[in-house]
Amino acid sequence: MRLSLRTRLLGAITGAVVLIFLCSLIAARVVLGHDLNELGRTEVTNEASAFAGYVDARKQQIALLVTQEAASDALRAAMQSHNTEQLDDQLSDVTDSSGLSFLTVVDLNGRVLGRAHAPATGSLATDPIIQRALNGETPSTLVQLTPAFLQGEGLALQAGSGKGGLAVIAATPVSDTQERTIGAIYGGVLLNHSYDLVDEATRAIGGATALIDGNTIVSSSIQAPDGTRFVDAQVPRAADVVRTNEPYTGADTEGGVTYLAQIAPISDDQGHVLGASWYGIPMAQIGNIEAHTTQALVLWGIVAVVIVLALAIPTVQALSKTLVANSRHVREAAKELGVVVVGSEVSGDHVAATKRVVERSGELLSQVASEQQSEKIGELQRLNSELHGDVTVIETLAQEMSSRMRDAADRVAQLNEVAATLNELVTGEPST
Amino acid sequence: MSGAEAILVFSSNADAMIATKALKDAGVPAKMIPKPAGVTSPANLCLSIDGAAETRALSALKDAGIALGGVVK
Repeated sequence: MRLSLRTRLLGAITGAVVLIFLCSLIAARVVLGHDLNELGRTEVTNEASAFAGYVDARKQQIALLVTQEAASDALRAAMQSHNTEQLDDQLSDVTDSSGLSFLTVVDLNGRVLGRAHAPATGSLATDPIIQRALNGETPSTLVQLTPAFLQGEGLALQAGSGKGGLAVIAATPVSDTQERTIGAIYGGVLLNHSYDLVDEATRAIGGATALIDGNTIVSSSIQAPDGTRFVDAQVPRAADVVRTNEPYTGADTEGGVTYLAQIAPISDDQGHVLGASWYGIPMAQIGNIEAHTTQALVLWGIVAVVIVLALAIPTVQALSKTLVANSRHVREAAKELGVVVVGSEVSGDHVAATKRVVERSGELLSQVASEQQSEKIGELQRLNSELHGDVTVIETLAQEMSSRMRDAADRVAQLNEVAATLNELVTGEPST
Repeated sequence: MSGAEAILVFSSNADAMIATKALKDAGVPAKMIPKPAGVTSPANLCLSIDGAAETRALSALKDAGIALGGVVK
């Protein structure tokens, strides 16, 4: 099937626009995807740092609470008098007002003197934090609490039966009025199934946050598919982070949603890696930006094609009409010239016939003149001679014109073929 | 014709035809004739003019840019 010039021109213009548009679209998608990914990685890195800042702030807050309480005269007096009931009440009031999960006081030997929400029994003498506090330190750190410790503090249910827990804690020595250490106070927030920290951070920095003990999420603002919190789930990448002590930034799927996430190791103040903090933004956010941008590009691309066609169609139509009209004129001229050529040839034949008649007439006149002399016959011979000369001139002219007409006709025939080809090119229809 | 006849010879029949038109436009009477015997020319046609109009004829042909092969008197 032959396409007309009009169709081909418009097709070529449209094709060029579409090609340019597609190249632009692909380039935009590639660049946009790359840049958004880089921007997302920067975003999650920054926000993960901000989330770590919230954990640090919570440590400082607890340390402040504990040191303030250690300086309390009432606490000191209760410790010195071994007034367990008063101690329990005082510690309970502090935890209720501050949001601490536990607050415990021990004597110089590590024996428990008072607890906020559990019976004041047993000893914490072997607890490394207590040991440090009794040695004059004020540790403020993340720690992994043992199941036994949690059991003693009445937090076993929150952590999960038989499980340890991740906590933000602080401990400090308690001194008498002579600055002699008489014991220590130890408080903290168990992070397992406690959501204040992750919710506060998520409200402030967006995205989703989680705290991971080992490789298990113990607290998070990630929403599970059923709308509940996504906790107590294994995060395989976190195991690698804990093992290598190197942060991971990239795709991570939690709760059925793929996030661009950063998983950073978290350590205690002795440098032991305990778990990881997790911060992520849904990949769909990036995908949505790409999709919206692509849609906008496609829309504007279609607008561009329509505008180009609106401008191109009249131009191509005008060009096509002009070409067709000129082609038709050439073909008509060729036909006319063909008639002239034929007429010239026919005229030449007639002139040749006339010349033969004049020559024959001259021969007869010569014969008559040889038989009888006459002035009129002489005059007739002279006229015949002149007539012969004129006919010879006419014949020569006719031959000259016929030759030139044939040359012209050949040229016009070639032009006619060009016109026919042009017409076929423009209209797509075979010439007849 | 008031003077002797002059025959203008051209290098081609086409020049002879164009010269006829040029002389007619210049007002110089001219008659196209077959090439006379004894005249050597590649063209078969010549122009016969009055010898007295030769100067005007040559000037008209020069103005028209037509090359003249020769003049036979």
